Amino acid sequence: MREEVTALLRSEVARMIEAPETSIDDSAHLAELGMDSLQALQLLVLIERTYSLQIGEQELQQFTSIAAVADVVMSALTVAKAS
Amino acid sequence: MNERNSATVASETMRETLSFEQVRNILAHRFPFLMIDRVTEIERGKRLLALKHVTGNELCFLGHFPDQAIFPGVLILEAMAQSVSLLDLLSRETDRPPAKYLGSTDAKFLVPVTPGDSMEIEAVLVKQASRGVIGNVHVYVHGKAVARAEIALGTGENI
Repeated sequence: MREEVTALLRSEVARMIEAPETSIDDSAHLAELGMDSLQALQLLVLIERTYSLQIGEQELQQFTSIAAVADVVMSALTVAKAS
Repeated sequence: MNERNSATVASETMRETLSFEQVRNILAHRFPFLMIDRVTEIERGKRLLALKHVTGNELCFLGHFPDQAIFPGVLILEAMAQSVSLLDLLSRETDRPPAKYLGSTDAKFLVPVTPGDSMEIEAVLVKQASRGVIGNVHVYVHGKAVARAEIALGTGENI
């Protein structure tokens, strides 16, 4: 599941920054990749719609890299499944 | 009571509205770029219904187009963006810079808007955050959809 989430995030980040997916390092800071805070918010909305999740402002602050965002998503999915 | 909270509340229906002057006191935009004439419904944190009346005296019709007046899509988009910005400002619980910088749009323009048309602009909040807002907007003339867009506005601050 995590691989699927990461692949989705990588694909969307690549689209947003207009770069090939193969050039994206999952551990790189999103700002270093060229993303801004508004694009991070758009990424959050995409995640919410794709996985039927609600992600708050606090979690948005953890959107520092693709790997970090995947952590947030996996954690939210675990909580959603348990409730 | 500050300007943000000074919206008129109709006593019978409890429907919250904003006059042109109240809109002008909230948004930073001014002539010829204030694209909202009135707000007829507000559900803070959820949605807003605004009106923009298009008249033949609009400056844009000098050039768009000299032989056939069509209200420019970019100005419809601006009206949609201002509606989202207004809803965002009315729905804020904390102070922070207004989200007035257009970040991205995904828009469709379905029917030309011409002098005499009154645009009903319905903005719905998708997501609010400290550094931006995303809203979904539909524009209607005589109940018929003429444009729709998802609009992201930022405060201008980065990650």
